[in-house]
Amino acid sequence: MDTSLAAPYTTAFGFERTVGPQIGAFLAGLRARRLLGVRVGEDRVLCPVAEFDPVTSAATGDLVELEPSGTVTAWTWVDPREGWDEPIDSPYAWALIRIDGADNTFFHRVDTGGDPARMTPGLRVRVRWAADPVGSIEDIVCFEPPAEPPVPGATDPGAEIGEPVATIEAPFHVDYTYVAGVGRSVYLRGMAERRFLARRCPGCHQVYFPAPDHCARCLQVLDAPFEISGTGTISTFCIVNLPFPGQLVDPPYVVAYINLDGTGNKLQHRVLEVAPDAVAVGMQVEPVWAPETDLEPSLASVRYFRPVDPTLRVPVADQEARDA
Amino acid sequence: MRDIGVVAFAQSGCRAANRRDDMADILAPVIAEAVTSVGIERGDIDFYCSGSHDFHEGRTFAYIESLDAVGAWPPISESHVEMDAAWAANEAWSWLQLGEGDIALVYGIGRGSLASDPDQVSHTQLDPYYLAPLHPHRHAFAGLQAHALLATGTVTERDLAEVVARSLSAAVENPHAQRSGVHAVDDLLAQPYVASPLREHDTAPLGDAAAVLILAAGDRARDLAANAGRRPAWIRAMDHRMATHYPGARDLTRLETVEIAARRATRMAGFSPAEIDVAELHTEYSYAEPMLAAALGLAPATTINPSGGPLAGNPTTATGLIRLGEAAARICDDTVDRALAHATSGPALQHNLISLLEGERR
Ligand SMILES: [Zn+2]
Repeated sequence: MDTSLAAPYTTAFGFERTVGPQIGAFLAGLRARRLLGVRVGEDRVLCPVAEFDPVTSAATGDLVELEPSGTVTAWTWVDPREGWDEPIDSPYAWALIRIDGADNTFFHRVDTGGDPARMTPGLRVRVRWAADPVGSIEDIVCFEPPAEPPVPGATDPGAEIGEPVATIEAPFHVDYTYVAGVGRSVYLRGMAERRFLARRCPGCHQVYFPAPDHCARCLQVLDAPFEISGTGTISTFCIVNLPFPGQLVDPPYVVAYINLDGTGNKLQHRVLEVAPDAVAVGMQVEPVWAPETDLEPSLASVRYFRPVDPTLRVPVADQEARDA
Repeated sequence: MRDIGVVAFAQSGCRAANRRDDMADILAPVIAEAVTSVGIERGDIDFYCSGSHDFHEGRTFAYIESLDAVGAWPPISESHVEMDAAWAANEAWSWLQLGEGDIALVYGIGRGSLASDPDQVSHTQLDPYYLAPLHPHRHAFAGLQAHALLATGTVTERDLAEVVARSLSAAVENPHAQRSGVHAVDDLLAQPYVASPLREHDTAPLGDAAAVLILAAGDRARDLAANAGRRPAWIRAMDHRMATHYPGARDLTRLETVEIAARRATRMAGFSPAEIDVAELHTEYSYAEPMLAAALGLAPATTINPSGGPLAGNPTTATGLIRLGEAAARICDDTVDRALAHATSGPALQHNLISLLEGERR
């Protein structure tokens, strides 16, 4: 078949990121609803605070408190995105704002109640603080006009600035489509039918499982698929003792490189139904398939491999085998 | 300096979403086309250098799969940049300049279609403390820069629409283009904004494609090019400069990095961007063209992006390399004698690579 399988998947990491001492102090200021700048060189002030002067690379100096208001210097008007947890429901601006007393500009949102006509050169704006500040740039929801507090002189004094923030949450989440390619789709479709489909290179006679569409050694398009038994020999292995999130089998267990009979490459898979210390290089293994109803175009259709020699096998707990 | 030139350039068509091929399968025919055209074998290539990005591919070390397309057995000498492959060309050019070999193959593979929402990817290139947590729209920094540029009064929205109309009309002749067509400027101006003052057509459409360059040195380059009935496009100079990462710390209306890189390239090449015939500019946005033309000091008669440029197709990490290939191709086939190629990386034209190319009389 000259088409490829494709499937959605998500890559996500719950990173935490350390910040520098100056950025940590700035974020602690935001947590207390106070806006800090930092002195650089003779007479310049940067807000937001940087660790190093972007012009001279010198370490930045003393922190100074600034009024949380400023002037818009540039903007772009956008619509909130569907499926995103946006803090503003109506269209808003991404803008550069020169904080009063600072020499650089601050990138953030400006909310004018959904009205683009209110975005004008030199627009004066003020910080709208988040209800529950945590020590993050998101403690500022956005900037908004007017710049002056509603009651003259009634500036929010903020809270006491505590210890500098040491780390911030920096989650990563992207939804992707995996495109298997015409070549690998052959083996994947075979998996859904309990078949190991391999392909041979007409140039160097290397046999691949799983097979791409062309030979990685001599670049020729591989010959038509043919079925192999799926039995093989352990080429090398390791015993996994470490637990990790998303693990399918309770450690300890064996992960091996298996040289499937009739192929020239190695397949990585679990080896179960055997005591880890009984596994050896050269051991003959055979595939254990998922039940008919669980077969899918995935290597997961093979739950695991086990020794061909029944005397080497030890029963796996039913639960464990099903999870695998 | 050694004479190092482009002797072959090939590219796949740029497709909005290739759901048939893996990385290697997109690349393989493009590599074969370039290699075959100059009459060499794989074993003649001394060095491979590539560019792609895991955040577009969605897997760590994704580029390893692309090595299946070059045949990395027996082992080869190769390197990779996690960015636009124009920088892989820069590495290969430096490698050849150092006398490490005579022939290098550079490839770029970019798949903009794999991430379901490009906005989920774009913020990962930003400052992680102050910018990325805000998840700005992917066009936000371009919108700001375009707004700042228009505010100077030197460029109008109509000028931007004219750049789009000219680029898409030029792309009609480009079989690799993802998007092309003849558009009236007034029709373009009637479209809604996606990030004011930018409209959808002002932004380069993300797509999937691969591109391949073969670089060679001295007489080897002359021989290889002659095998294909071409002349080498000598890369007389390459220089790249990067601005600070926080957009609020620089003047967005001035491309100082381009000015510096162009000045240094001019010294290296012995001719300036004002003396070239054709420029291929990495314009991911329409507004970048007048900004770059001004910063480079291009002469008014210079032909810009005769291929249609990135506004006709933007295969992420292959886009800048394609600029180098398109510029070189016009020297290789004797259309022009001097050309400039530009590549960019980072938000709001943060990092810029300038190459000056020249042909010699055959
Ligand atoms: Zn082969």
